[in-house]
Amino acid sequence: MSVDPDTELMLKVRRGNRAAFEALVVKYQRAVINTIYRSVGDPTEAEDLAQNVFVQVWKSRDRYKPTAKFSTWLFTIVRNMCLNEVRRRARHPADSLDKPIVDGAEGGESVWQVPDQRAKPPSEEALAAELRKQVDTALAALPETQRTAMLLLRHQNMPYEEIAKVMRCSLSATKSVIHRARAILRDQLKPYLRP
Amino acid sequence: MVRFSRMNCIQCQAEFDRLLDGRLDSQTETLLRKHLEDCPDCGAAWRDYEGAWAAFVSVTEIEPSSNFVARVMGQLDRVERETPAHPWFFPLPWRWVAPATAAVMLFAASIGVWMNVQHDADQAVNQELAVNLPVVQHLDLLRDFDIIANLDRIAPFSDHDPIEEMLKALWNS
Repeated sequence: MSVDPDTELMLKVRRGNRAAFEALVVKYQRAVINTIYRSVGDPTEAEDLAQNVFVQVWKSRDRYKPTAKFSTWLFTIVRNMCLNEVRRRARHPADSLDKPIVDGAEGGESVWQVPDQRAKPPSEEALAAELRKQVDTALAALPETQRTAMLLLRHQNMPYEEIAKVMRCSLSATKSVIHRARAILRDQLKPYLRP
Repeated sequence: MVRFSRMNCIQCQAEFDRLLDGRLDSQTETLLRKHLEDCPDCGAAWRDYEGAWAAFVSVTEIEPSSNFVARVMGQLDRVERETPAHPWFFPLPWRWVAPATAAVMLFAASIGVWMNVQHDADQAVNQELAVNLPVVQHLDLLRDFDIIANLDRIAPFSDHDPIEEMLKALWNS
């Protein structure tokens, strides 16, 4: 039976091999940063948290057991880090710097936007940008378990069995979570999809 | 795994996830594709399901900073300085021996203290018993003959003893 190459690298990391650790960081940086970014919504903060994740991997390398796939172990740390961050934010809520500022609206009242009938139909590029925006919104609105499962499936093409391990739930529950998340995305994005 | 010659709408839509993830066997996939061609409702439902997933997958990912890896590697020196790789004197398998031994000794000491306290208490009770044993025995005797319980019904001491009077009457007769 062939050993997972990441597990081999991690076993070297356990012996203090920095080159092996660097190889793992290079391989997983993008997936880790993007997974965290979808939870916290801020790219700079996502990078800082991703850095903490990798430092945590280095610090707890003694505890890694080759029985688990490295990616499962790594994304369990990622998920815990995201959950801690969400809890920390809930305890210390702060106004977002990205809060939209509405001109002319007193006391934060929403402005009623009337569609301009004379406007030209939106370009392909504008439609694609709108779709991307809607995907971001729909993804942010998903419950944490559904969002994490979808991101693991998308970034890592992770098998359902591994996703179940990261999420600490059964395989059937994972399938159900992914199905529900896809159905929600379909309902949210349906108006923006091509007929 | 579906093993039918035809598929109905419920069976078809239940397989959407496996079709999307490429986890269907070829026979089931053929049946499903055939149903999607024949059934406009399922066909439309599949296009939406697949379209939403494709939109999700197509979303642009953010790119890590060019110096991200260097920053992480730079952190390792700081981490090593703060916490050495093996902060314990003993290597990992023996790391728990000292705390475990301390815990056992603490437990044994607490048991010893508890037994000592119990012994002192027993001794105090024994000393008290030695002093009061005659009284206690007497009380036990009284209790055995229901004298204490029937004290109020016992006649006060008098000069004539009913038993003696009965014996005298027998003698005279």
